[in-house]
Amino acid sequence: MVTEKNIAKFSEQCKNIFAQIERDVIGQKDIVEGTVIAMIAGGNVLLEGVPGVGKTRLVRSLGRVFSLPFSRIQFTPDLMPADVTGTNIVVKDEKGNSSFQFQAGPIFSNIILADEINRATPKTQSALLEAMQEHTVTVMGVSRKLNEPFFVLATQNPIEQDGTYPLPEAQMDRFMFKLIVKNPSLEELMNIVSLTQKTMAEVASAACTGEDLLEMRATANQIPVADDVLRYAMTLCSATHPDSECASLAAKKYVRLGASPRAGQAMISAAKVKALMNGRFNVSYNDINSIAYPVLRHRMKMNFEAIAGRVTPDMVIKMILDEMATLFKLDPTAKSIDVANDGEAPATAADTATEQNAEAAPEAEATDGKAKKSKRRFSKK
Amino acid sequence: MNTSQSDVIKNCRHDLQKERIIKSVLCGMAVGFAVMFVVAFVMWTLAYKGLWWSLGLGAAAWIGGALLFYFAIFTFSDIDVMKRIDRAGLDERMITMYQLQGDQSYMAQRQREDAAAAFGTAVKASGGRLIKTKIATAIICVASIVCPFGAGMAVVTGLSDYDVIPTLDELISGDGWGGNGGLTTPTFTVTYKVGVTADGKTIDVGNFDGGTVSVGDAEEGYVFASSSNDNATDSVVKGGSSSAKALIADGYYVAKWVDENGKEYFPNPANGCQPFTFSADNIQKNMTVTVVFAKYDNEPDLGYSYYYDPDNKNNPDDNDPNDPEDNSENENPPDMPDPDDSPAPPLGSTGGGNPAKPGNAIIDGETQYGENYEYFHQIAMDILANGTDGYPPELIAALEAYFGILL
Repeated sequence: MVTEKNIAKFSEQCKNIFAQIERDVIGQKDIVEGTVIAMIAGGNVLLEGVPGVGKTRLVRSLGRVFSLPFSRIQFTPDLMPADVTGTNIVVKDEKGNSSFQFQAGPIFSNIILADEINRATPKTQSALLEAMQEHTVTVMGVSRKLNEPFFVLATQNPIEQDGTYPLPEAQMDRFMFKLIVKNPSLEELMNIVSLTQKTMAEVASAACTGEDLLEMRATANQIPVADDVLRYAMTLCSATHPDSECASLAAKKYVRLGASPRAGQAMISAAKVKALMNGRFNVSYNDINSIAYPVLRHRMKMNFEAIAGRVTPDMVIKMILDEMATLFKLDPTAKSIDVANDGEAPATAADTATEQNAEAAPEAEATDGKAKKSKRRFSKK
Repeated sequence: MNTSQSDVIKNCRHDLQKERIIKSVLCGMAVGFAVMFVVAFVMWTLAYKGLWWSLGLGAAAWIGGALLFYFAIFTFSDIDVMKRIDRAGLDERMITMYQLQGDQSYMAQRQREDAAAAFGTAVKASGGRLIKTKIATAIICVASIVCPFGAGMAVVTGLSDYDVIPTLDELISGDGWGGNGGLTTPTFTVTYKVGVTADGKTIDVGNFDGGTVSVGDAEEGYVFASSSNDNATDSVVKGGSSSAKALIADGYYVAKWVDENGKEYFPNPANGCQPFTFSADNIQKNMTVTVVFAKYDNEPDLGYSYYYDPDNKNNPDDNDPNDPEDNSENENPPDMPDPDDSPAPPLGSTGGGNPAKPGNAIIDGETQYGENYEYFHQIAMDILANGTDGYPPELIAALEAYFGILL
């Protein structure tokens, strides 16, 4: 049952989470926010980006921030399914009797970093299917439940696709979000280098526990969704199918296969979290629109015309959203009001965390200055 | 929601109602003017007096259309009011609040509180007017196009009703607008009538189909005439020619031809006007030409007779049509050229053609010499036989010049 305390705690913990992550990950606010939303909503995330943009560091930071056991699985072509799930091994007891004993694989953790997931064979990739969807692992006919909360944060490289195995549609559908990690800006790059020159170690500390995360999830699930907004979200999902009754013109032209019903579930779950993060107690059209890209981009298969015309899924999603705005008579230019700021645009939790860190920075510099002074005092001796 | 916020929602409802009325009126206006256009066009095409029909039906369609749109199409419910309020930046708080009314769960209550707070902020930011009247661009465009067309077509119908401009039928058939012909195949009508002079007045006998006429106290006479094509009217393509012949009965002669403007053409060869033939060239409008017969005892002193008696009914034993004694009582008219054999030279158009000049009828380059030769030859023979008394000097001069003789 949701109480005022839950809601206050949710807000506070969101701020702390973002503040701590920002200590280790410079910039990439959209990626951080998307990942946190997916984790609170209980979904898995696929991070795609060129090497060196901080994908692995982000996942490791999340493990520290949420105080959850973290496992890293480096997917290689020779990785076997048993290397992921674990297997039965023969052990001898004191009396010399042999028996099978299950040796849990690295998947038996709370946060799984599946690094370069597209380098493993499809057979190995499939080992994650059951875990990602049902949070159970079946080995030798025995199903074992995974610890909650359980997340799979996978990464893949968009370049050097030779020798890789594209994830099957079934597995792609099990990721709630697919986030494209872009190169940092010049300012961010300067901050990254400045930070990492001091230390490469992650300094983020715990902001909440696994139980807190589950509590946040339960709180967010209580956020109501108006029928019109629900209809909008489902129409959006249906519009990605070229042969559905709600098919959009862009889908008919460029899409071979649209999003599954899991996309609708993911959309609503994530929208609830985003709404509560923004201090609202209802889901809005803007929430749906903002998470449409990470939810849909990996669930739509483009046809030959799109591939030949270099039409990306994001471009198709943009076209579909424009058609939906016309259909539902939405005003894309309408600005939201914020109750707290008395009419000004609301600040996201990530922005609030940035402001907190910015306020904390001069204090840190002052502290360093004092330490230097004391050193000098000592050095004079 | 507190009382003031409820009042704001009421105001929003009123604003939507106003918008509903405006939209209904505009859409009804488009329907009304469309009906006006159709009715006016049909009436104009069929040459019916349709101004008041178009105005009446257009007004009725406007009212009916406005009512239909108001009650059936532009209706709105409470949730529509909430949706419009949400457009002020409330992020669907109002419709969620509306949907959760009656739900006493904690989250529903928090949502209501949040919606109320946001609503108050929005009201403050908008100055109390959350809903702005919005009319779809399509409605404005359709009304802007249809209304001028409808009004214009009604004006056209009105003008044609009052004969300021022709109807479509008249434009196409060429019967309207001062006889200037139609748009497609301009043709004009030349109407031939018969008139009889009696007691100094001209009595209109009627069209060229013949008939008896009573001329005052005089005895009844029979006059008949026919046009070149045996009809009372001749349909002529714009710029074309028409001619008529008068077949004169006993006791009568052609006194003159008169057009509808009253211009008289006397049967005088000197001015190109033949007694029993009327011709017009380059016809540019509808014409009505009347041949005026006179009784024989009113014969003008022109010195020649021009009665036509092809069967020589009056003097069956007289084979000398040129015997002047036969002309005295007009019972044995002289032998005159058969008008069917030698069509008279063109008179010159009364509708805008080139009039023949007296004295130049023969040598003006426009007259057909062959058609006049027999006639003028006969006149010359008569003059040689009877002398020049009574003949106009111009005629004598023309004959001398043509034949090279001295009369």
